Amino acid sequence: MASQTRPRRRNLWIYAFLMPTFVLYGVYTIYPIVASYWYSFVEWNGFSAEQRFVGVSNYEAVLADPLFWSSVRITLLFMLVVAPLRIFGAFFLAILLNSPRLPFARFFRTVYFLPVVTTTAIIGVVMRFILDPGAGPVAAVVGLFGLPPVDLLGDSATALVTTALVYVWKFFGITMIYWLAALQTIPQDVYDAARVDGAGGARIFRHITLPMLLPFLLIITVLTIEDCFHAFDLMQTMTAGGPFYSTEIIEIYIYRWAFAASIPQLGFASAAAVLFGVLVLVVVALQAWATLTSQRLRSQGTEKGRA
Amino acid sequence: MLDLSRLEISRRTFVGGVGVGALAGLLAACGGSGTAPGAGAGIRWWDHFGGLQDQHKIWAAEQAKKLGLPVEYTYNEPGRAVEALQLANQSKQLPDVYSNIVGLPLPALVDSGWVSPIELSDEALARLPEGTLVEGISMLDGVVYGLPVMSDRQYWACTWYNSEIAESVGFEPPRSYDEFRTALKAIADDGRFAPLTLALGASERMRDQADDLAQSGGFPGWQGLRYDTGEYAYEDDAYVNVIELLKEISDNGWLLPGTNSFQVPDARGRWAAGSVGFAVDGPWAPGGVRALNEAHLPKMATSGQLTPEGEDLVITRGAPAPVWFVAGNTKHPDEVNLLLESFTQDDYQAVLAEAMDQPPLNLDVVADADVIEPYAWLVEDYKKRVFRAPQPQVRNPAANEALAFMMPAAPHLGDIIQGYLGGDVTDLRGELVKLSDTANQNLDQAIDKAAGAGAKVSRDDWAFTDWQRGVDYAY
Repeated sequence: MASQTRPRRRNLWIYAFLMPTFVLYGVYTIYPIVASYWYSFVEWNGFSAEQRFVGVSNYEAVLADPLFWSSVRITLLFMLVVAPLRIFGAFFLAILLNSPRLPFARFFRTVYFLPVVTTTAIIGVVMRFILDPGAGPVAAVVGLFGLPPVDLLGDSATALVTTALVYVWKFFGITMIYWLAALQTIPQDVYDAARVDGAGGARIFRHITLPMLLPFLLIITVLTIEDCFHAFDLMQTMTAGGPFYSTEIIEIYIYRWAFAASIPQLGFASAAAVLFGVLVLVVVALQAWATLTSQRLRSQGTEKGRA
Repeated sequence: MLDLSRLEISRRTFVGGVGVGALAGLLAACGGSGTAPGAGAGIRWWDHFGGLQDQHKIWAAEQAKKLGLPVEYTYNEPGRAVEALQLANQSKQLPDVYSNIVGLPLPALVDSGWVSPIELSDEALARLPEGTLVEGISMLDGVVYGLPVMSDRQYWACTWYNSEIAESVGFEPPRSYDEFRTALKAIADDGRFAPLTLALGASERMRDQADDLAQSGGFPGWQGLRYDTGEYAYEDDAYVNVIELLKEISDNGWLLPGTNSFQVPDARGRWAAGSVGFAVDGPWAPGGVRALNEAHLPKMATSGQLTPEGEDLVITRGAPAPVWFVAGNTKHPDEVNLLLESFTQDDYQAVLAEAMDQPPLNLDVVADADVIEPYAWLVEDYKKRVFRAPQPQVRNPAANEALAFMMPAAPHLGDIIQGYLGGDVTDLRGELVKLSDTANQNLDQAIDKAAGAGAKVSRDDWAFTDWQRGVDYAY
């Protein structure tokens, strides 16, 4: 009897400890997701109590809006520019910073990580001053060469690339930390053995470091790509989606309809948000599928080679 | 008796207790409406008028003494004020008095319990200028639901210039497009100053200014909607001419670098710094400039609003919009009514005037108020130039039901201007035609929805075939 009571009491404690997480996750994650699915089927302005069920007409309206597709294109373009820079740039930097021969390695790691812990909205505002074509330091440097002012954020041809580069700088450090953590998993013995066998730095990198880091590439890529879909705070403070929608990522599109419209359209915005969630899911699923398929093909190739 | 010396607390018990306590605290914090700090203890007053914060704090303190009840004043930034009210309403914590920033028409606010009737005394009613309270705008079935305290007689695309630069460079205050071009060119040729800045990054503000300039350029309506036909017609020459003027200014390099992405405070701040000749801004510019750089106030001058050939300006505006609402669930209706009545007094109107924000309802108080001369001149100009516009919801209050369903059009006029100046839009008139089509379609759909819900409303309610330019419209 006592032996049955003890596991039950222990389980109770486990649930008691998990309860805050369950409650917070439910209130701040599950509930908003479920609510947004419901809102996407109603016409509601957020002010009145009345929520009129309209079926899938919000989805039809979103899919028929050229500006929605423009925001999808811009979001994907932004991700395609930003993700490789973050993943591979951070990879090479992590290799460099992991070298025991590099002096001040801790200092450089801190310096590269510092933007990550700085408030994104503050960075957006400060960057607007830095890139100000009238009085910013960039304008001063350009002026030294006798060139006319360059309005990087005010020109639709340059605004997206400029914000993308600022985004990469801001979040570069977090991807670098992922890679540094991955590098720590490679046993030092393997490197020592390779050196005893006469392998140089390049061969060690090619035949030990790279192959042993490949399994981490999938998870780091998934995390980074998913992260790249969330650039609202930086984009809103730097360009607010302008000029002329050239930096309007889906998150800003959703915000515009939900909060910036004269009469908010929460149903329409929720439909766009649900479609955005589906897009993220599809992109990550495609990417995971491609990586797993390539790994399977590679392992099949290795087995055939052995046979 | 409890022996504390024998009470043993294990680490697990302690952590578990803390966890349960935290959870209980969290649940308590998510609890009912009655736990809100200050709710019910006094009058809570929220608004979004940045230029009036100091004055309203003082006014709240004075009224609290008179009413014998605390009056807690809170300013919310315009960008956040709507969300703040949405959240307050959902948690049944609407402030007793709040400013009109919710975009819904009055009947929708009444139906949803957002507002409650305002009982004004005869004395307070007598202080309001004639035609202030209008059925469909601030009243429904003779019951007052919203109190206007600011004048409808104003225009927003005022040509503000730096009088020191004007004297130094030697240009005349412009009234026509050509005079404006000449002045800007003179500043550009002089080379010491930037000719003009605008809030081009704030496309909604650009939309408002272009709407006003198009009206003063002869467009027989406002915000793209023709009064005579009730149809949207953004492709009208008056709109095209205004936008082409802005394009010419931009292409000539007469805009301060960075103007393309300036928000309102950016543009106003650069102009207030003193090295830009012109800024297009509303009558509230002096109040805004004072907050940024008071030393610039004496240099401020205005020539009113541009017309294509410098002809007399004619502007039309609807009935005064409600500024103050009373929450539907206020616990202090009598005291709140007294607070609202205080807004009709001349001393409050003088406070509004001296803030040099939007002109007060009683324009006459401006002449005796402590304001800069250009502000006083503008207000005098408003008295002569601004006429009462026809409004469908005044002729037929049921039109409000349709307006509540109206989807905004995107890209709107301000976006199109931004795109055309930046080179993203090449066929201006074609884009304006598309905007008109979308707006007409959205209005038709809104009317259909309202009619489907039982409202007696039709597109005819938007057409005022007897409207005459330069005459106050009477129904």
